[in-house]
Amino acid sequence: MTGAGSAHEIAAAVKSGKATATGVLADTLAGIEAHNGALNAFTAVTAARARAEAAAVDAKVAAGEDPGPLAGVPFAVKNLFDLSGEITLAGSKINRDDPPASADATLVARLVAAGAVCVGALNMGEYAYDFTGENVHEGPSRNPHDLSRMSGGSSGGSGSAVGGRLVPLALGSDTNGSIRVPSSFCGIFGLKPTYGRLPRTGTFPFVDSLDHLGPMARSVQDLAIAFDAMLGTDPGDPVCNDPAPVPVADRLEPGPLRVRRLGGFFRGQGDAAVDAATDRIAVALGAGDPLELSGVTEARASAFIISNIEGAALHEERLRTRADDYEPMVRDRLLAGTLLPGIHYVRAQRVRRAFAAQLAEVFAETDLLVAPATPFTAPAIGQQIGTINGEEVLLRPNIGIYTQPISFIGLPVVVVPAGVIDDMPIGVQLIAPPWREDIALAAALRLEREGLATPPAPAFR
Amino acid sequence: MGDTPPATTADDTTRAANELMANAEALTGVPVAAENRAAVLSHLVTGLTLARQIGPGSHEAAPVYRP
Repeated sequence: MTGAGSAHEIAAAVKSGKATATGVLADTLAGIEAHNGALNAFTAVTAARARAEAAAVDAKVAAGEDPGPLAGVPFAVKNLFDLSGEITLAGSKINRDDPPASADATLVARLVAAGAVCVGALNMGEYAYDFTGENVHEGPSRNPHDLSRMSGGSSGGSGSAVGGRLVPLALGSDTNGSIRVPSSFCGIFGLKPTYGRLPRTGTFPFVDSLDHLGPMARSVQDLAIAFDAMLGTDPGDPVCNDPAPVPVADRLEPGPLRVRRLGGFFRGQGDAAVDAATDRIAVALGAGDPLELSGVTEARASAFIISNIEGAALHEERLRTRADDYEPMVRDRLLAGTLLPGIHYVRAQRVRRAFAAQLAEVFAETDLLVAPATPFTAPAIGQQIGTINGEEVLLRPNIGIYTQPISFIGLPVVVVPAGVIDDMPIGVQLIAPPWREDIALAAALRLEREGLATPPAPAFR
Repeated sequence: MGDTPPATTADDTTRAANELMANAEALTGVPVAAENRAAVLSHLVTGLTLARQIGPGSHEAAPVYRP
């Protein structure tokens, strides 16, 4: 049993004594050794700590103690999560000069407490300002379904490692789509929880008012178990505002849902086959009439502006002192953010309030919204131009056109792998009301059981 | 016709952009290397173009902050 297995199967095998955490780890490390050269998903493999954690799980099993719901499950994290003893790179060259982290990020510690085994840190776009998974310092993480294509970003290594079956579970972050884009491109499930649900303590930020953390996996049950293990507030993140966390893994039996497919802005901007895949998912969930939201263009523009200005504010001092050490495109976008007039930030915040109010009215009569995750499948690494609305445009700013308006108001989203187009995976967003991750997960589970949401086997192995 | 301003040349545009960026650099204190100015300006134009997509609408009555 290796990283190619599912998390819940590994945990069940370890708990029952059919497998040991130490054995699962050995197989997983061998898989990483064999295949990471092709994927470039990992930037650090933490074998020593993993062996200690696996041994601790096996000791608990031997002593008849409960080793936790993720017993012996190997996982890895985007390298903006603190791992004790490792430098938190956040995809950058600049952070290489930082001291190693003195403690694990809160979510890492919670997964380990649940029995999971941390095997390393994963490649990502520099400072998370990225939709591609490319990185000039580390090289690009590669798509397991075609090594010449983007993994998606910025949690590119997370998508690559899970889609490539190096690990069953990874953590990513999502500001404008950075869990959902690589989940779509790499053909896996990804959960971006409600803004404020999971604490970000011990992670390197990007845009404080938009940053989310969440799990990526190859089964819905794995997402749910990991999500449950990470629930709860933490004093280190004042944004985390989950007054009554309720585990979801045991209550995902889907009941009747009022579902609508988002139209308008969310249809027709990318490949027609993407819309067809989204429609199939919507029909399978019994979607009613399409819903056209107003103000989506403004919402997406506002997400861009807030990201640009908050990101620039975060990096101002580094831009003064280390400008030449940034990836040029990230640096230039952040520099532009220092120059955007503040009046646009104020307007963008007003748009956020108004857009959230509109969605609150929608969710009074609807349980779930369905929309494409990306306008196309994974482009080639290095590709600069793409097609949106039939016109050739700069590719990179447009990869997240379908994800940005949703994370902008913090709604929980599960991306499901909704089939393949010309042998490449494509994902669909299942969007739930605030704090109702259980609804999106339940719908995803229904699709998974019906065979409509299945991670494709990676072509590179 | 005598008061028609001379046509703007590419050199004029480059000079104006450099001047704008130099002023911005002085105001923000964040240095922008001369060779990066065109790229930064391009990203700034992208941001300003998106900002113009936020026209009048119901959002104008929405609060910036609500406790």
